Amino acid sequence: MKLFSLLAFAASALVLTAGCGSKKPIEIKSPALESAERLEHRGSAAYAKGDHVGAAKDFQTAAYVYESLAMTDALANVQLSLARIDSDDGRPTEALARVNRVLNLPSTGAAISPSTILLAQGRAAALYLQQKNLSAAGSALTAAEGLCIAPCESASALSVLRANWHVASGDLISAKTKTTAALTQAGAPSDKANALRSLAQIGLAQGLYPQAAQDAMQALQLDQSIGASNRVIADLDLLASIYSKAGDARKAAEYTELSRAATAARARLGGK
Amino acid sequence: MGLSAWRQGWFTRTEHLHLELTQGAQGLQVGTLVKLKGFKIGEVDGMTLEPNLNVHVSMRITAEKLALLDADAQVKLSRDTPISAKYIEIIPGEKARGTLRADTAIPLKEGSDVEDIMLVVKSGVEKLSSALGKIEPILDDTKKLTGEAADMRGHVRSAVDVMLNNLQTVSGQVKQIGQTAQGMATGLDADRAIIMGQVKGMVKTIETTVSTDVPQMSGKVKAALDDVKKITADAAIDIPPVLRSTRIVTEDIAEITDGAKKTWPISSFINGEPPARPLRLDAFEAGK
Repeated sequence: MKLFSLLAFAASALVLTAGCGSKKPIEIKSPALESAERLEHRGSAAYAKGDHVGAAKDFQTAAYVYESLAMTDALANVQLSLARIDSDDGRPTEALARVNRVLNLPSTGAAISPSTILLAQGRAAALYLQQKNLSAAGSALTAAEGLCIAPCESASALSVLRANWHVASGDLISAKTKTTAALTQAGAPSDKANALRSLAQIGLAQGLYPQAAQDAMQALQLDQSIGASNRVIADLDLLASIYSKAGDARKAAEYTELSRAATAARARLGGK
Repeated sequence: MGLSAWRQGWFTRTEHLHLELTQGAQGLQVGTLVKLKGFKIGEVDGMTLEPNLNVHVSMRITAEKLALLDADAQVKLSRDTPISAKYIEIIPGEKARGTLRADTAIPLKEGSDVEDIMLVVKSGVEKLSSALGKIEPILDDTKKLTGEAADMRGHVRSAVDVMLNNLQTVSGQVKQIGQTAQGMATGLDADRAIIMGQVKGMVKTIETTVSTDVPQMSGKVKAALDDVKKITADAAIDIPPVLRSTRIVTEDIAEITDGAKKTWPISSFINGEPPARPLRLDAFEAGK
């Protein structure tokens, strides 16, 4: 027992020492740069809470700071964040314009990191899919997939987007393969929920209603845990469609009603 | 000016009396005061040495006071203290008053010099007495100190006696040690022979032990090694669970530490502010 305590203590000390030892050297940043980064952090936090207006304001101010410092890559990243807000808020044209400006930067000689280009291509693909522009979406996806080298944070999202592209193209088998891959690649709960929702959509398209309902229900539970009402509404709508197609009008009506109520409540909270 | 002259007695009527001194001036001089019952009534205004070696003293006396003196009046030389100036004291006499005439010689009272000397002696005795009164306590203290010194001297003397006795004893012991050392030096050769004999005996014993006991000891060592091997084997079975437990604890601690590191504000202290990142790619952006 004493030996065990001693070993445990030594191990604790080792772990703590390793933790302290792994501390990165403090990077000296200018107050302006620190301010911009703080704005970006605050913008991300506001976006996560659903405050798109506050988030856009912070991102825009950060963009001005980066632009004043001629920090092109940082500015491009902020523009991509603003594009995401535009997209969510139903301004796909403005979103795509921002993304395209970022994608055009390398042609002007600006130094843009591959991770920024990957994000821009992925975001462009998503926007093209919204617009049913499968050709442009396919090209953007191919470019993004080429840049997504493991470990790649966007791997699961790109797989789901590719699956959606396959669904839009009528290739459900490839879509299911990609969605299954997306499930294994998913790290964040939102990625997993997206993959499950996509899987449910494929099941719906394939007529596999029970499985589709099960996948949609899992996605709903995940989205509820995340607290993303827009995704919850999407899941409820999907469940209503599945049960409707499956012939369960009562459940379809229940989910329809839940979706309506959720949409109304979200609108009252200021969401779109 | 007039007041000063009046105070000097310029306007006071005076008379003269005379005095013949056979033993010299005796400390008198012009200006020496002439007193009656302690009051100044005149002064010496002239002194001359006569051909017979007597000193003639002329005294100017206030006429008013002269009327108080009798015909048998006398003078004596006096002083208040042994060191103060002499003055002439007039003794009025016992006959009818006012009978002493001016410009007459007044005799010097016999024994006046002895009185003066006695006064000096008396004063000296008084001072000596006073000094002795002060010296007496000092003498008492001195006596006391002397007594203590005498006691101390007695103690010192006894201590010195004891020390001398001790030194004598030590000297005797040193002498004895010297004699013993001499004896030891004498017997050293004999002792060396005995010691060498003992060493030889010990070597022989060791040789015997090596030849007989070492094989037995090797067997015991082998048995001990077997025990050690067994213990090691047991430890090999027992220690892995302990190590596994330690690993679990280590992993738990690592997880806790990692959690703490990721928690604000600890994360800020450990890692600093994380770099700003854009909103990540999300497949939901493509729509429902």
